[in-house]
Amino acid sequence: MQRLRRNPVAVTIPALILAWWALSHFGLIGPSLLASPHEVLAVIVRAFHPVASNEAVFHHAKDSLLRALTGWSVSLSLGVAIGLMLGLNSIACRAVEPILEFCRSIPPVMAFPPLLVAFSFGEAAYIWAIAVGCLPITVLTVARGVQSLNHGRQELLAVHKVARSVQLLASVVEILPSVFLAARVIFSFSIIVAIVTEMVFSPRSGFALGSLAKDSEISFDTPTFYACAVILGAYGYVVNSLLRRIESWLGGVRTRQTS
Amino acid sequence: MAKQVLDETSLPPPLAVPAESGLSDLPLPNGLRATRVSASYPSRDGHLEVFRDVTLAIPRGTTLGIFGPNGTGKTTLLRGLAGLLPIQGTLVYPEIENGRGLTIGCVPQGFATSFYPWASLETNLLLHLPNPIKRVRQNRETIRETHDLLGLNLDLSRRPLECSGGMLQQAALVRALARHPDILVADEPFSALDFDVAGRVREGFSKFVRERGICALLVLHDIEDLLEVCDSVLAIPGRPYTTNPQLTGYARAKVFANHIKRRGFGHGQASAATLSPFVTAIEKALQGGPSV
Repeated sequence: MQRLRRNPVAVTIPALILAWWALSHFGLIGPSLLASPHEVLAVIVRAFHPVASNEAVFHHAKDSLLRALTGWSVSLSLGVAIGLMLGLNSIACRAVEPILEFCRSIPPVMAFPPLLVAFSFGEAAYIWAIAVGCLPITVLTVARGVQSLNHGRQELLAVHKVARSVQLLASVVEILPSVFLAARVIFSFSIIVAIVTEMVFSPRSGFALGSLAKDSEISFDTPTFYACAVILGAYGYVVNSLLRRIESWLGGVRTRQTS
Repeated sequence: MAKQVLDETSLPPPLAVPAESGLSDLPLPNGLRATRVSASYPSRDGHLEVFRDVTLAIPRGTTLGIFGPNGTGKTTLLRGLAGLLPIQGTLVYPEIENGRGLTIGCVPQGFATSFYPWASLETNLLLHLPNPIKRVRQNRETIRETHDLLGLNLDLSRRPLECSGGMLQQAALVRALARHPDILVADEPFSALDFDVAGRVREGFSKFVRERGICALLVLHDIEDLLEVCDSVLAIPGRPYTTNPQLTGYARAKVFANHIKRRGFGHGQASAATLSPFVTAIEKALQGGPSV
């Protein structure tokens, strides 16, 4: 019982899989709508197993992840730089913030057709659709993080005439929680934008999890469709967990036992 | 060293010393002098005057204590002298040798949140010393030396989240003094220390200030801190109070302080008459020196 309290997810995940299995096994939801867990697992194992690999699914998964990660990196780099500048300059922030809030509500997929044309239907269109879609969220989160910096610490550094470079370094480290928060939020968003854009228009390479999901849905290949969903969920979970671990390591949240 | 109490008079808002008090004519070969300084905040009704025409003088190697009720502008005065707030009036800073810039050390009121939680106490302290990246070894030695001179026993490898308020206050004092400042401004720097540590720190602090020729300006609420550490006192009435005018000596000053703590400063207009018994008591206590 105590172990369960420590790790309640050890119950919820098996319970979810059991419910899924029951729904498909007893025919409560037909196979054209819901694949059984073992069928989905078989697709995933074939995709990632080094021997019996289904290379197509693997390449779809790999290419979509690369697209999402590249767009995410571009958005994060630009967003942190712009967010820092806006956070440090209240006038600039007041001038730009309404525009960013306005843009944030526009689905990034609406920017995709012009980007496709601008980048001649190349990979860059997908990456920039992700980056542009995530940019307002990153900028606003980082700028608000900078604005909520502890003014007492900043003042003390100024009174003690600490070098500007050291002050900036300390500020950057202090806003890391905001940067990580933005990174986690926009990674999920990057995956969504990547898949939606791939569903709208298949990339030239032909490998895209979004296209595969759309095709398998049309052809009622439910195991592949659900495998795509599970792979995407796993991406989000793994990257989020990784970022959280780095964040807690950097932030020193785990305190040592004091004697 | 002769101890002096900087008397001040009546004008509300508090912290008012008229020019005729003669304070601005005190001999001050080298030190910090503020003459007729005033500060105000913009408010809905125009300007909220925090203090007006304050004059004070702190020779090098001495400590001035500011004592008074809440909301009378003590912290604002400290922040003004540290250059964090614009104040009107004349400020003469101590002369600096070798052409180096004026160094200020500060122990803020919110000392507990003045540390970066992601770094150890030592790293936090190193950040505030000159060339924190290039001179790590020398700066570490300076920190250790200051720490030992204050008679502390801190584990500087701890992170702020692992420290008590008292530990953080000790570290904040080390941080300010390790800079070897010309001027030290500290807002209640002993408030979180236990009896034993406070005694050692006060002793180490006074020695440090004397030996290094620091102009120290402290806001204090504890009469014992005031009597043991300060060479001079700026008492702020804020609101007037009533007490026994016959009070003399250290023990009486303590009784008086307890009275103030218990009863506050009363209500109504501040005046020189109401302030003077308090100042007299402190002055006499300081001249006699603490014997308890």
